[in-house]
Amino acid sequence: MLKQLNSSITLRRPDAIVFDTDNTLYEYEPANAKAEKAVEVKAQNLLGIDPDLYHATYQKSKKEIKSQLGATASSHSRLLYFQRLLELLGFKAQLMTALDLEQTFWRTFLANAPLLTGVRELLDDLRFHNIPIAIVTDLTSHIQMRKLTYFHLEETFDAFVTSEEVGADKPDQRNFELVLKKLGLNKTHNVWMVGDNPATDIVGGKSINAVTFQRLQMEFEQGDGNCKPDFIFNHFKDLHECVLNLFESSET
Amino acid sequence: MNTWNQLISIFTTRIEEKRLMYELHNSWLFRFGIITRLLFIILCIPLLQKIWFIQFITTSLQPISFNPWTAHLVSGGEGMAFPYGYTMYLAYLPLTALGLGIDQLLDISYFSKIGFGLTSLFFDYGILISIALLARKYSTKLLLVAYWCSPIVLYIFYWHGQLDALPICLLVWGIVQLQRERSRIAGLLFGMAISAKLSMLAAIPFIIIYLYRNRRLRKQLRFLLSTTLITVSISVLPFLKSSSFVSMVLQTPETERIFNVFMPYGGDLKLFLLPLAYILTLYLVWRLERITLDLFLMTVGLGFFAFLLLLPPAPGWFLWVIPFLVLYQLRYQDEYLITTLPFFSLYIIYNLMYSTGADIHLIDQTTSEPFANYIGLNNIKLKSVLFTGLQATGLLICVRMYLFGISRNNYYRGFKRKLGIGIAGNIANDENKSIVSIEKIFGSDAISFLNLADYDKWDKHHPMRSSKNLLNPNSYNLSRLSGDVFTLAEGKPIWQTKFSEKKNKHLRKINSNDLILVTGLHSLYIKRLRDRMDLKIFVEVDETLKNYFNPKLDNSTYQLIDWTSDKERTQYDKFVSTQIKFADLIFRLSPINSLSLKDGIKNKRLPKLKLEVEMVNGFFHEELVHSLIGLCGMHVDVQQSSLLENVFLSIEGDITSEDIEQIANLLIPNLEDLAIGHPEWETGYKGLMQLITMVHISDLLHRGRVDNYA
Repeated sequence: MLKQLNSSITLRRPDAIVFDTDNTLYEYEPANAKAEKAVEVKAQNLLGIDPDLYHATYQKSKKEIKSQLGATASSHSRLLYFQRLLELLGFKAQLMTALDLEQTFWRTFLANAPLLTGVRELLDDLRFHNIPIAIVTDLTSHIQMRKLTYFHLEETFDAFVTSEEVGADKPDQRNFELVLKKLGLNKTHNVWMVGDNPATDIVGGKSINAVTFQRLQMEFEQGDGNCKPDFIFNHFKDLHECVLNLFESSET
Repeated sequence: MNTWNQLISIFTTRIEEKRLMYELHNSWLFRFGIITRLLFIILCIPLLQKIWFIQFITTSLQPISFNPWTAHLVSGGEGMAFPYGYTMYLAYLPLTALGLGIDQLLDISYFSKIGFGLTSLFFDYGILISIALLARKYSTKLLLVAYWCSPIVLYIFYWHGQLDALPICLLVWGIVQLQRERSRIAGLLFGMAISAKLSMLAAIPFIIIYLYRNRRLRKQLRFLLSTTLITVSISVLPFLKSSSFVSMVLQTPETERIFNVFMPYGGDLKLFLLPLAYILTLYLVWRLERITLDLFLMTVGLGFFAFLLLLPPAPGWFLWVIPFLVLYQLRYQDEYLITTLPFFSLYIIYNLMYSTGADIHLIDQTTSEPFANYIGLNNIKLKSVLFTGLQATGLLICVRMYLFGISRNNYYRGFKRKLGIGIAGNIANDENKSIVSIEKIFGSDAISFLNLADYDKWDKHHPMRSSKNLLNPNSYNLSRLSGDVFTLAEGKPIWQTKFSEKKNKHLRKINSNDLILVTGLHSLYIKRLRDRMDLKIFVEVDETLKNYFNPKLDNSTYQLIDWTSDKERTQYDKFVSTQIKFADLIFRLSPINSLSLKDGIKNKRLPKLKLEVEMVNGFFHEELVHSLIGLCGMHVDVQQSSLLENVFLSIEGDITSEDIEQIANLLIPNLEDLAIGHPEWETGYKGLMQLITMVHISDLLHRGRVDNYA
């Protein structure tokens, strides 16, 4: 059910809707867990690494890459994590193995990342009613484009922005300003921002005066303070219903 | 939700299966089904469970007895209380015993019944999941409506209180394991199903026929039967000495029901209709051309239906057909209302009226008697009319299941004859392997290999070789090759004469298998042979790669034909290249960067290759391109011919066999009906050629022809 947290807002037909991708259009964590497990098994088979050592080293490599690159798209790169993992394990630069592990990760990830129920129907209806839709997401463009292609959404969106394009992860305002620019809109337009993470999606959305919607799921709590969304929902069908009602009322 | 997803992933292997499983568990219909079941378990106590089953289990625990049947009869229990085997007893024991413990602590009689009901719920859920796994692609809503929210299922398990959930769950899970070619686990589950309820034996002949008639599955039969036999022996034999077990389980009035329906045949002779119908159904299955999994499931359903229609009504037995009926409904969604609703309605009305039900805790009055007793409608004529209606609607379903489920519902029904595949090009193939590696998917036993090299007219030292080299089709006995193809196509074996290096002559028999694969330079050269080929493939490898496709260099199976003179080049263009215009599917391999060749040959390492594919448009290329880009990060360039008839794909990038397998599961429907248990998908360009060829073959077998190809 769609729940309004900010009573000062009256919902109107939006000029555009901006979506986050990971954990918003699909469940990220189960897919990520399975993909990491598949890589672990493969690494054990290929390199004979002890599971505990693998876990500890993988976490270490992830931490190192993140601290080295800061809040940028490349800081999420699995290829870099696996490359560093192999280096930390003393295997030096095993490029083919790093690429193989990365491909295993994303293949398993995508195989276990079904689009959430109701997303496609909502996007189809938005396109039918000529509402521009866009993506603002962290991570590198290549993998995010692969994901959307895999979901058969490659021709659905009017604009696509990744943190790689901007040089900084969300909530950096530049991500959101760039998407507005690509859509030919500005902060005075009625833009909706839909995401799961209060600290990035909701804060970022607010930076361009968007009406913010948080999809509630297990990883993040409902945002509070600066991160407090205007609306919360659990299922896309609730947001879809709300949008359809607005279309109906705007037509009458 | 994470734990839930991890649990689901144990059972599901395919992307689509996982997505559907996720959707199934997130549906409100699923929650509705669970809540309804829990309400039934909490609020109702079926009479059968109260007076027979729960009492049987609780008696066996006070004191604990290894032979619960004897314990039950010694304590004065009814002989019909538990006509099931040890598996059934053990399955229901833990939760019922736990409930009994709580009951004894609180001095009430409630939780043993809850434990018993929850056990049924567990197996009931098991049936739902197994149907979903068998169906593979389905409407989750229809599955939940047809099974999970089916009033018949709710009635049988939670109102009438029968225990058929366990044997049916084991049987259907056994079929799931059979589908995954885990014959030993399947055998174990079938054995447990029989041990739980002996009537599950009726399914075994169908399983034997299915495995025996599928050459690629035949070797599973031995493992399956031995495991089933061992399981049944372990769980039944120790009790055969027990007269209580024999009288309660083996000599039940239920067994006698098989002979209840008969036709008088003059004098004292009777024609028993159930065995007759059952044998006829078995014969019907035996006669089927290609028994796929779907067909097999429909026939098991039909076999069980024969039992129902020719037996006096037994409410619980109707559950036997439900999984198969649901699978039929999932395949033929339009048929749902027409075929099943009258049957379901009459079943519920008949059994509510004339079978025992459950008592409701909140109501003081008993509600477990047949409703006909309460409303005074014990009219034998009305009962017979309802029964006739029930049998008639059941028969209607049988007929529709046969017409739509068996006659028309074979995915690979399109092909009634041997499938001919011709592969020409500038590659000389090994005798039992092809450049497109389909033998690794179908298994060598399913393919009759014919290699043009075996039809040489002259050996390499013959004087004629100087005037007619291997590029010239007149160097081969193509008429004999064509004759051999037609002989194999008629289902007869051929004998080939082979000469060894030492000029020793020996005969080689080639059996007629489902696929006839003809490989060699001129496989598509003569019209008669070409016309018999159902799929014509041309493979052209860039001549700059000839040094890399050389067995002497890298143990490659393949060798490019080589020419050194202009005359040979002209012959290649005239005799080999010309076949390209007849091909349905064209593969071209070339180096991505020709500059890399100089370095590569020193290392004998194949350079990075680009695969170009030409095939008919509007087929599956969009799905393939999505998967290659999305799942594998490949670079794919798509172009179409001017009239959009053909599509040209240029594919670059590294792809692993796991990637290919994943995409094959997405693109090839019912792959398990075609492939051996553990198909070997190749890596790189070979895997792509294998995949694309397999999609063509699957489409061909489904539709029966190739339309409008290049």
